Amino acid sequence: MLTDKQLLQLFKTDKDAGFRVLMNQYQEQVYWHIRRMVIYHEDADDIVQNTFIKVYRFIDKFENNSKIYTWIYRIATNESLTFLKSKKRRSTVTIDDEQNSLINELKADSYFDGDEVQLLLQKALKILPSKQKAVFNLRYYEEMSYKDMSEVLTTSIGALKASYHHAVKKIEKYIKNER
Amino acid sequence: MKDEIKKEVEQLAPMLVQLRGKNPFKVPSDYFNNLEQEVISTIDVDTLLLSKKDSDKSIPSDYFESLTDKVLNTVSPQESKSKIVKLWNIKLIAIAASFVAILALVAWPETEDLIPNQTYSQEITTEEAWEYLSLSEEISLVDLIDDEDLNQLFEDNDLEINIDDLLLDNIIYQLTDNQLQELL
Repeated sequence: MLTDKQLLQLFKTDKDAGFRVLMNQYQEQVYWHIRRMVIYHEDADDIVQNTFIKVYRFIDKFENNSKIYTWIYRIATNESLTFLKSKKRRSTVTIDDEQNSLINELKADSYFDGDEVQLLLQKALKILPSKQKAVFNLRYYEEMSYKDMSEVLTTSIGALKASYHHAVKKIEKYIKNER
Repeated sequence: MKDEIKKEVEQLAPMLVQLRGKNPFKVPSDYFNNLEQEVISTIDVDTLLLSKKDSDKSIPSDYFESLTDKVLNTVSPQESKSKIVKLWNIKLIAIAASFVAILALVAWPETEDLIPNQTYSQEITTEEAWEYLSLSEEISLVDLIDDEDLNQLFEDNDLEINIDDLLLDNIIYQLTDNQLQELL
């Protein structure tokens, strides 16, 4: 695995070669982050492609102020949040209906293999606002430090801690009530 | 799970430590093997399209050199030459107009005779209008369309109207709370 410095150097000498290395290093974790945000594979596939296309276009403008991986995560998170926002704008159903249709769709989805507990967790995650869901996913699944999360979400560490704690409590309460 | 994060979740909601479990999501086989190539292909196409766009925007080499002159010529055109109007043309038109006027006056009584001396001062009542219409041959829109076109029209899926969509998109926002309650 190349360091950021090595990767950027490679980009300077051979952009395409640099990009191939970068994709190999980050494509899976970026995909899983997006997939947890948008749930469905087809949507995640579109967003992950857009994310890496943006990475390719703007890598020349990348300033070494942050890590490459937090920068890629920032693009991926913004793309996912934009997608969810436009999806929500188009939707006219209530949160209850959304949760029920999510469960039905996941049960029928050939790319979902979760048990009842996993379905319940997905249902619980649906009650979180999109940005809070991103906070929860980055910490709970990606095991990201608050410092890196702060770079990804351009939010203060204190605010992220509060948001994560609140999200965890909300999910726990929801699951207890549903069980 | 990293110890620090595990402890944090245990303190907040112990139940969630066990729930994390395995990843329930799957991807198509070979997805990650092909993703890189897919993205690179898209970038290649985009680059090609962008370069095409740039070439479309190309301008003649001396465009900017001649632009100032073109603009100046447009905003301050050279002195316009005065227009010369030949008078014999006006005379000719006047003579032609006189002939037309004379012919119209001579022909007028004859054309007047052709118009039936009938007035429509009486107003037609609604009943009379309905009676007249019911006697006239009924022609509907459907009669004006060929059978073949008509069949095609009803087979066209684009013309299908979803009543639910109509209700949601247009009607539901115009109803009062009471009307909505009655509807439900």
